[in-house]
Amino acid sequence: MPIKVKYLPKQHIEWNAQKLLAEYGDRYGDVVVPPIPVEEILERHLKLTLEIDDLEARLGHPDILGALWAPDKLVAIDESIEPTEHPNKEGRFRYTVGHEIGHWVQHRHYFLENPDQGSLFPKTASKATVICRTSQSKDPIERQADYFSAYLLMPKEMVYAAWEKHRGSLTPYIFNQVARENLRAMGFVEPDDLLASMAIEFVAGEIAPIFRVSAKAMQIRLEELKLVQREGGSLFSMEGVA
Amino acid sequence: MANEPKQKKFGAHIRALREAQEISLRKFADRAQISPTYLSKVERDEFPPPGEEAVRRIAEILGEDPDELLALAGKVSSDLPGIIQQQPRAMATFLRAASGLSATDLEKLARRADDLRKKKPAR
Repeated sequence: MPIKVKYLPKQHIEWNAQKLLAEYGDRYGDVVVPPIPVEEILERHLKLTLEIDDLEARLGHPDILGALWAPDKLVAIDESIEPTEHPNKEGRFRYTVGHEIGHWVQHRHYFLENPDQGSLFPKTASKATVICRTSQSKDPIERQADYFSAYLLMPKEMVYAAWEKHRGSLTPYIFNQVARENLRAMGFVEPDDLLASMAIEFVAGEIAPIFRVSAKAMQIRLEELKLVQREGGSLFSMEGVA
Repeated sequence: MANEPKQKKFGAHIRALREAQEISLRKFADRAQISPTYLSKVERDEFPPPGEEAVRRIAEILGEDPDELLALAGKVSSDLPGIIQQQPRAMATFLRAASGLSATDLEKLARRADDLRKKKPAR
């Protein structure tokens, strides 16, 4: 049974992530440009042990990308997303590391005070404090860790700076009628919804490598910062997909 | 580290040293030229230690004595069999005689061997 956690407003989660990055900076030098060194933060700064393992074999459940054993100060990430051997999984790997850091920073006290409680799979992994699956419906504890990871890997100021540098201005990309017609003129025949998704994903995919995150994670962050939008924005935007 | 008991496991030992020196798992694997997944399994002592060359690289990164680390890995430096076979009887006799001496006494012997070698022209 998932552990119940206190509600945290998004701003509070963002502040938690910013605070951690600042504390890391105090000790190891300020991080002023992406990518954020998440493994260094986890291993050097927080002194958690990182392991790479076959988590399905270890925990007896498929689709597990990461797990935290809070009392042991141990994080394990699934070997299927280890970036040296799977370079196209780097974004996934880093997001999962950030996610486990999020559990450690925001939730460890739930487990350290009462180590018996909170395992999601008590029978097969009684020692694992938090097991993070790809396919589970997201409980608040998992969502809080996800937000934390996004805020840690893609700090607001750095996203604005990267956007401005890459695109020449802070003008958002708005998928509107103009953008749609531009794409239609280029020969795209997909339905509107799909076309919008493709265009937005393309735009996000250009920024994502700067932060070494997946295009999807970047897209969600850009949408939250209103740097990419669908319809409803200015009809006079000249933004298109280059 | 040299005085620690020999039962110590290779993987746990290098993980402790690596973490004490604040080198992250994947950076360390990169410098040792082994895969991070493999290194992680070695550190948990689920996999046997890597080959001699990798153990030597690991020793260098950690500032450890390569022969000590090779011994912990259950290996003997690859130059030693050749050295013994050059003078099999004399070297075996010498090693048996020296076996059981303290590290300090062995160091004295090694210094003495160095002196002897310097007096004679090389080869």
